[in-house]
Amino acid sequence: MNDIKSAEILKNSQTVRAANHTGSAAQEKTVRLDIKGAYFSFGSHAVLRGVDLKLRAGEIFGLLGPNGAGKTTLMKAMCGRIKLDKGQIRVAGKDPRLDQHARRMVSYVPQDIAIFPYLTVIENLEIFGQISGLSRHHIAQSVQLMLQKASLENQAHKLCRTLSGGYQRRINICASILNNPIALILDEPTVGIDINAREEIHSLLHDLRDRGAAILIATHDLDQAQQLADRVGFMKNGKIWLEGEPKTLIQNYFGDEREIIMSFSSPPPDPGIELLKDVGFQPIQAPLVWIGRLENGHIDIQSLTDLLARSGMLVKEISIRSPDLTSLFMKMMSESVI
Amino acid sequence: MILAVFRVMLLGLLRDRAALAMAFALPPIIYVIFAAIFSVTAGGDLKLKIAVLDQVHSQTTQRLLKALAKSPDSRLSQTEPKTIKDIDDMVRKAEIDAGIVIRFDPTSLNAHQDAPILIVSDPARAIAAPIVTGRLLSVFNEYLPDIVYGRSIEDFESKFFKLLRPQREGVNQALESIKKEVEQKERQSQQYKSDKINQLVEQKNILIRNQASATVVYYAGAVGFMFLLFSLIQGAMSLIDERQNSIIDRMVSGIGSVGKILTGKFLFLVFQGIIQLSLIFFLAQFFYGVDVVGKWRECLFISIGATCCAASIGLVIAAFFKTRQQATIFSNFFVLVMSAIGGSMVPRFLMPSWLQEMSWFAPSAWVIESYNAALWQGAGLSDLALSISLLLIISVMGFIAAMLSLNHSIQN
Repeated sequence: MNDIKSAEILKNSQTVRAANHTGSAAQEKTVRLDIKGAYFSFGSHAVLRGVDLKLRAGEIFGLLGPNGAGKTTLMKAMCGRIKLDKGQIRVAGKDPRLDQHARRMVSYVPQDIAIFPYLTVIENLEIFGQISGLSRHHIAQSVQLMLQKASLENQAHKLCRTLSGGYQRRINICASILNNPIALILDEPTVGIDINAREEIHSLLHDLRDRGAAILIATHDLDQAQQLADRVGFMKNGKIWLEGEPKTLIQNYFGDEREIIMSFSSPPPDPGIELLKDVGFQPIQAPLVWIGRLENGHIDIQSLTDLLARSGMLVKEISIRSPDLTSLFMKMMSESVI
Repeated sequence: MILAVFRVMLLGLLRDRAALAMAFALPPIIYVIFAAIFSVTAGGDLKLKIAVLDQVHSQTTQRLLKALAKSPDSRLSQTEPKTIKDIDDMVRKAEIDAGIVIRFDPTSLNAHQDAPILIVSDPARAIAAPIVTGRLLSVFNEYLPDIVYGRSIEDFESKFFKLLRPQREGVNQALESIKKEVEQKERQSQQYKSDKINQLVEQKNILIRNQASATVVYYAGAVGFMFLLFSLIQGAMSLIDERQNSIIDRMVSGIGSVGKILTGKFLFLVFQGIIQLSLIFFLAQFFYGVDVVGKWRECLFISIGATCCAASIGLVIAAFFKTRQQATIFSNFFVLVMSAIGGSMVPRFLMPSWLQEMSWFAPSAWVIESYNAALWQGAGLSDLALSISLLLIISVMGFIAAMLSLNHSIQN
């Protein structure tokens, strides 16, 4: 049943694949980065098993998936750092492994704060400008522009190690976009920072997208992906299984379903757990928080709580909400087809 | 790219006070300490502290005490011992290096079975006794030659035949005349030349182009290369930090490559190493008179070989180990063993022959011997070609190994 549904969703998602962030499915945009049938193995361990993906100009793509899904390897391949066993990667039509110009057009922002702590903000940006091959004249211009855009002017001459995590994250991104790359690949760009700093980084990325860059963000933060990404892809076991606009995917997968989330004050007894499973609930924060689905959007809450109370379970809180990317992610990760 | 890496290393070093001290302050300080020690122990400035107990109080022993006080080779203790026990205690407590007890008047040979002078020393400073003995004999030769000649004549008479009365009178007159001559010279602050007594042994020094002692020259290279290894390995470890926080990932994802990153780091480390060695040789030249300026070409080429070698060893270690802690433990072990075997701590000629042979496996030995050959023995570039080439070969091999190791770790 689930297998069939996943396959259906996969098929439906093809129709929205070309949608840009404005939501217009008809508007095709230039493909900046094109991956076709990518296979890669470490020894006998297959890491990429036929990945197909297109990143288009002016879109943010959220790459989602559990640890070990192959996201990092895919990102390395996009930057031309590993040689695929099979398949091809093209940046503006050229192989980044063989073409230095193509490699310069793709920038990578690592998950760690990959800047030099003993250097000032401006020195870091200058160094990474040099490393990305910019001329001295362009470095000076780009650095000033970046400092303005990322509101780093007042920090320009401070050592990076003395700045807050939020500033360091911003510098981390700025260091990769000095040379105006056509494709930007970010690995968990906002991990460990507060909401304000996160919003500023989102704004920086939106600005970059609006200037025509294709952006891929690998993240475990599904709220961020839903908020930021024009399209998302679910990756597991070396393959992207589902791809499309978040709203469309959720609609296609869940339709009018609603989710009911129940929190208990104390862990349910074994008979209670059996009962919860019988009525279609599954734990999301075991053993206190459980989630269930309402196919037609209606439920008799009173009857449900009475039933649970008779089994010795006291409900602390009940909430009903529309499914989101987290719901879809959990569902997809538990699907046997994946 | 290479320049960018060089600039990062330079700024990083300039802002890291501990690394700066390790690179440019500690090595010269250690060298100065070593040189101060060895310029004394290996040369004529070794002044042992002695105390003298005169149990005779004769005219001759007074002359001897006066002569010892004048001798520039020793320092007399301010504390005057009253008994032999006092001398023993002073030696035991290391208040003096050796004690001299004048038990009998040294003028006469026949009166006593034992030697008139006893030297008391501690086995922990075994070298003190022979040095004091030698210097005491030298004092006798220079300031009391009449006593030495007189004892020799008495010895001659006891072993061969007695001198006739007129002969004895002649000898006594001659001895008196020598004594007067010595006293006159002393009054004129001149040294008495007792050529005849010294004729048995004569010293000849080879070369020497340096005012400094051989040990001071030796330790310039020895200390220099040991600290070169320490500081360049530390410097190369920035690679581990950069790999851990993904800076290397970011660099190689653009137009950068492992080769360019390592080249930038290598060039900076060589630059740092040359400055570091220059500081030590500057001190050696201007404070200890080692002739570095006269051999600057040889020193420059040896220094290039040494820094290239140390830099590539540092890069291999940094590329191979995953954490700074692992690398630090290994590098400390490596540098200390290499330095001990290679002669940075103890000169190679003091090692047993099997260890001397083994030491050729340590780059330290090649570096130290090269500096020593250039600065002490006056070797030219052609004499040093083999050792410099060997250091450069190690450098190339190390660089390639670092590249392969870093490439492998980035790929995985």
